[in-house]
Amino acid sequence: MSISSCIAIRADVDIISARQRGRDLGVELGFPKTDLALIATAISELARNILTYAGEGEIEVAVEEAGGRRGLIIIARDHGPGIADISLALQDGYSTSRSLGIGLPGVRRLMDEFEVTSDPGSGTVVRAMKWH
Amino acid sequence: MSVNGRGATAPKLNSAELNSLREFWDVYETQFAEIGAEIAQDAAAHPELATFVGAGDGDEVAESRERIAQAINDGDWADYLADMVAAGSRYAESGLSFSAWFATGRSLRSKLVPLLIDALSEEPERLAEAVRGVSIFIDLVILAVGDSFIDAKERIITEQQDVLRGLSTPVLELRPGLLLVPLIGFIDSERALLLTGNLLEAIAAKRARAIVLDITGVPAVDSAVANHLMQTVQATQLMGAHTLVSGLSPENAQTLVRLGLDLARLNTVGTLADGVVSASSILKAAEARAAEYESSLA
Amino acid sequence: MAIPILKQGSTLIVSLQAEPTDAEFVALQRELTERVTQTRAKGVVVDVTSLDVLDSFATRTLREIAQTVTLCGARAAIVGVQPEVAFAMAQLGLSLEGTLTALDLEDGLALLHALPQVTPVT
Repeated sequence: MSISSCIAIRADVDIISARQRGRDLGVELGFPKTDLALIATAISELARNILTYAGEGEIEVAVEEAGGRRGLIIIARDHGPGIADISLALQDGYSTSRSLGIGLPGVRRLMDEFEVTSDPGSGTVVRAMKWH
Repeated sequence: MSVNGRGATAPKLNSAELNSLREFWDVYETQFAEIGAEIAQDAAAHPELATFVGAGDGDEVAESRERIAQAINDGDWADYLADMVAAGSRYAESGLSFSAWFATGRSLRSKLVPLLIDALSEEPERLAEAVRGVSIFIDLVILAVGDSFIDAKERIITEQQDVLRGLSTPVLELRPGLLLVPLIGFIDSERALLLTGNLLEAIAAKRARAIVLDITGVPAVDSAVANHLMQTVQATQLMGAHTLVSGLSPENAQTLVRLGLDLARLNTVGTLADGVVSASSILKAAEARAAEYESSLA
Repeated sequence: MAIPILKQGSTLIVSLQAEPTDAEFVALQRELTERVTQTRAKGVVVDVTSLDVLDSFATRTLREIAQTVTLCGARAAIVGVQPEVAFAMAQLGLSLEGTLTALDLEDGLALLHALPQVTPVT
């Protein structure tokens, strides 16, 4: 089983390949259809965030195991401007770019666990987890 | 001394613990069948354990003795612990309480200690070792059984929750194309999600065009519940279905209005009966459209 | 590759296959608007049955397609949103509010057929 794979996000076509990679891994892990759609949608939004805010970055999808459970983790990394106020960015309805309607709070609702680390100037890492 | 979390791998014992176990086993082994019979007798008198006591034929007893010997003398615990793990989940599945199993442990200890005193009264140091061995042995067994007992209980609870959740959000097909969802009890976000998921699947499977979501049995409709319901209604609209919410009490309606919620998106109708009538006419209109379109193609 | 637009009677039908890119979505929006004006189509059906994701961008574009088409004197229906896609969209807070939706292509065509013909005010 492929444990992890990484997709560079530089253009809109990359969103589709990242989504596909996440879906493939989800299928390997035996996720139900509903979860596959949630995972693919979350990847799509995170990849979009990278393009919108940082211009480029990468999406990694990997298998995670803990306490006898397996899950799929999405890690979105970029070296963009970063988020100055993470708690503000996680508030519903908050978005600094008009092109984005939903932002991070929406993605958080799709997944089981969600974590953002960011330093202004050095980029952002979002980790989002779906347990099987 | 420690037993791995799942209870099925060999315990880590230091040489002193091992020595104690062997002292105790040397004595226990000689009286194994007799003690087993006495414990079975005690169990037969126990209200919970009574139904559990099997006669335990000679072969079984011999096999069990062989497995303990294999564990204590050769350090190969796999077979014996596997027995204990199987026992643990069997007890959990049959609804036996864990304290009943503890009672068996106590009963074993009370039989073993006098036996050891008898055999080793001349050698107090070996006696002390052997008595320690009893505790180590019973702890190991209880730990192995307990782990698997709890695992099995958790599994059973999860299964029951799944069944309950399924029951708590039934999606009924009133007639082809018309679904009724009678909601009863409190709606939290988890239940709302489950409802939405079930309903969307049912719309696809039954090709439903109209849905009545009846909330007569939902005691408190606050803004959180209203938001959940709105999300459900909106999700069904994405698939082209019409969802009506019936059974909102006047009190709840007033509360929601005071909270400033825009209830238009809930598509509320009066009673369940009103809901079914409205949904039927929506369905009829959809069927008429389909028929008209079909004839326009001919 | 451009997304094909079929014409049946006075209705344009777009059946979206395998995950259009953002650029393809935007091109489709432009193309559809032009075709509605050229062909004086009265209805547009966008069939998304094969799509297993409709993210914020796709949803917004579909809404915009419906609005633009309406401004051009026709009506648009989005059909075939799959249950798991609808679930993810609802979770994300996405809606197709103000847009006609139907279970599948057949229902969508029937829905558009039944609407009173819109005559644009000139």
